Amino acid sequence: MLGMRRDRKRQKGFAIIYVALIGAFVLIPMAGLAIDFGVVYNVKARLQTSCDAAAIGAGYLLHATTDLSNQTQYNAIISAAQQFFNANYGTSYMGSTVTTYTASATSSTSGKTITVNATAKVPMLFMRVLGIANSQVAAEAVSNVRFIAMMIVVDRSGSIYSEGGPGMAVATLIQNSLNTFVADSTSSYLVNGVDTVGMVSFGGTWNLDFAPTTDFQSGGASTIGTAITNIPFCTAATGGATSSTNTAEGLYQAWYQLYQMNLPGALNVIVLLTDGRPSAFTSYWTPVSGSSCSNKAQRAGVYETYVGLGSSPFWPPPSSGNDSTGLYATRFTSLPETNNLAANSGSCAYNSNQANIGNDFSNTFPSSVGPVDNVGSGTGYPPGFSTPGTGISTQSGYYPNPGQNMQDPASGRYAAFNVADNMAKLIRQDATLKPMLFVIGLSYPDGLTEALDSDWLARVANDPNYITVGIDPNVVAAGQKVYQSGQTPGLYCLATNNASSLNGCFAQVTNALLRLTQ
Amino acid sequence: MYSRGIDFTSAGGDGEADSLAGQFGLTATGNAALIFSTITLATTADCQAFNSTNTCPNLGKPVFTQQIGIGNLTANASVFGTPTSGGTLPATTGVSANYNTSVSSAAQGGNSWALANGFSNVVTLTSGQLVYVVEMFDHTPALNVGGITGSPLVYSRAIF
Repeated sequence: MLGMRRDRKRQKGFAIIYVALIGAFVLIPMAGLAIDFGVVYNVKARLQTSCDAAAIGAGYLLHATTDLSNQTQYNAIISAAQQFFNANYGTSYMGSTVTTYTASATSSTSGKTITVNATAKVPMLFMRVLGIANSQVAAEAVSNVRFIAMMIVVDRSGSIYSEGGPGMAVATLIQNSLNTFVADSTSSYLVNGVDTVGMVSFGGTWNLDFAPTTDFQSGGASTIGTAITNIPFCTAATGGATSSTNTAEGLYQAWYQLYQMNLPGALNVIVLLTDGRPSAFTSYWTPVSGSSCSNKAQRAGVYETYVGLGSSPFWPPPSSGNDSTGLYATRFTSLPETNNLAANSGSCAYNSNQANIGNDFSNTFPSSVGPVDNVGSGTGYPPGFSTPGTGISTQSGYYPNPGQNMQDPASGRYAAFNVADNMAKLIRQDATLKPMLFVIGLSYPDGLTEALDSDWLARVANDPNYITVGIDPNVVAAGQKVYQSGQTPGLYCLATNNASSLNGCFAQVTNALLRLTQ
Repeated sequence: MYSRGIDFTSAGGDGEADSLAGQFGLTATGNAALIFSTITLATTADCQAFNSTNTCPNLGKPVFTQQIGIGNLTANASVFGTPTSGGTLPATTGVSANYNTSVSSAAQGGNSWALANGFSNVVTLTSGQLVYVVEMFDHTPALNVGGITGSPLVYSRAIF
């Protein structure tokens, strides 16, 4: 017993020494390690955020820069990056010191790149006991700015005229907003000498109003601004509302121009501005044996249907009555478009009497149609259109099985929808250029004309955020998503008939471009 | 306003932010708030919208184009300002504890409340440049020692 008490006395001193040793060499270093590592981790995160912000923040100037070999322009980018870095990092974040900071910008055929690197020295609080006074952290951020290859597609159908009236209010509205969006270098995000911009307009026919070029704002007399001024809108002097809405053709010709540019590394964009529902489509037409045409060879033409049949709200269209206003030329020549009949060498009924078009084609339009202009195979052509006048179904798409009856107005209108719908789908499925569709619907709810179909236009854009309102509940109920996975997503914006609203939609497109090009 | 395809005025985007913020409490009466802003320089086009001339009070100054708030906006506001005439963000319809406003072109041109106060001291913008600002506010009542030190505010922001 005496021996055991003596042992306990000796053990009391050992516990204190044991705790002191563990505390000094294990617990305190471990706690210090945790705290110091926390600080290092925090500084590292902030350094990375600051580098990211510098690269992204300088992206706007990088995009706007036309010549990186110009030292002034180059220095402006590097200076902007430094500003954003400083704005996010501060002077001495958690006691750290930035030891190195570098930013550099380079250019390639598809875009420009800015790279930001930084390192920071972080003072240790506890680890210096073990002889570690500082720790170093590093971060790198790379931001790629893509060039934009944009085709603007403008609806100049008769409804634009009808809605604007003799004063051409809607046409002027469109022109002003387009100027702000693309022609005015002080307001446009698009940069002359960097981005490529062109413009197609469509009624029943299509017209390349402005061939795509990087010199779209300063090309002397040939600028996008001049082209916007000269968009061939219907006017009272040119016969009033004589143009149909061949949306599919407008989209195809814009797509074709993107292929002509062939910039797969760029952000390929089609901006569609329209106020109405499709009412026409392009195809090849072969007169039937009983036709009055002496020349029964197939010919290219645009099938135009009546708009505004029935009474307000004019949709759905009636299912009886003559559907067509005639077969017309595919390319724009002059207004009124109703004078531009399809080329014909024989005495076809449609050439002398548009209402008799059914006689030449047995009152049946094709089940497969397609563009005839700028169609081919290989580099420079959109995929799927090697043969003119075919490749797009009139019988499936947005309106299932509408029939091919030329004496059924609903059949023709639904077919025009389907052709445009299928064309947009092919564009969105293009895995080479991956074109994005930005669609602006211009609404003019006067009850005197057909309203546009926002549900369908959002589907054309493949807008991931759009929820249907059930405009035509026969095809799409309210509350549905229009987004189709596996196809390039875009943006739909509905503008009402005023400058603020339309400019707001273009601003949304600009914001999206800003986000997508950086 | 979008970030990586997320619209923070939608219920989905708001919920995403709430999830990422974890237990910070991004609710109307919670401890935290997240404020997204876009800022640009007022242009002559804004002046035209404001007074049909090429000059206006805000021309060339940083102005808000949009602001979105999530969480407790009663206790927190952007250090650069709240771009509404009343100084508070209107609630987003259908999304709880979510607030947003878009500033019209005319307001950007002429209304003093559209100005991003002090922003030019942080970053110098160029014409046409749009800058995103994300601010996070978090009050920490757990660190209110003895109930007398108050809830320290943690503030962090990113500008890009």
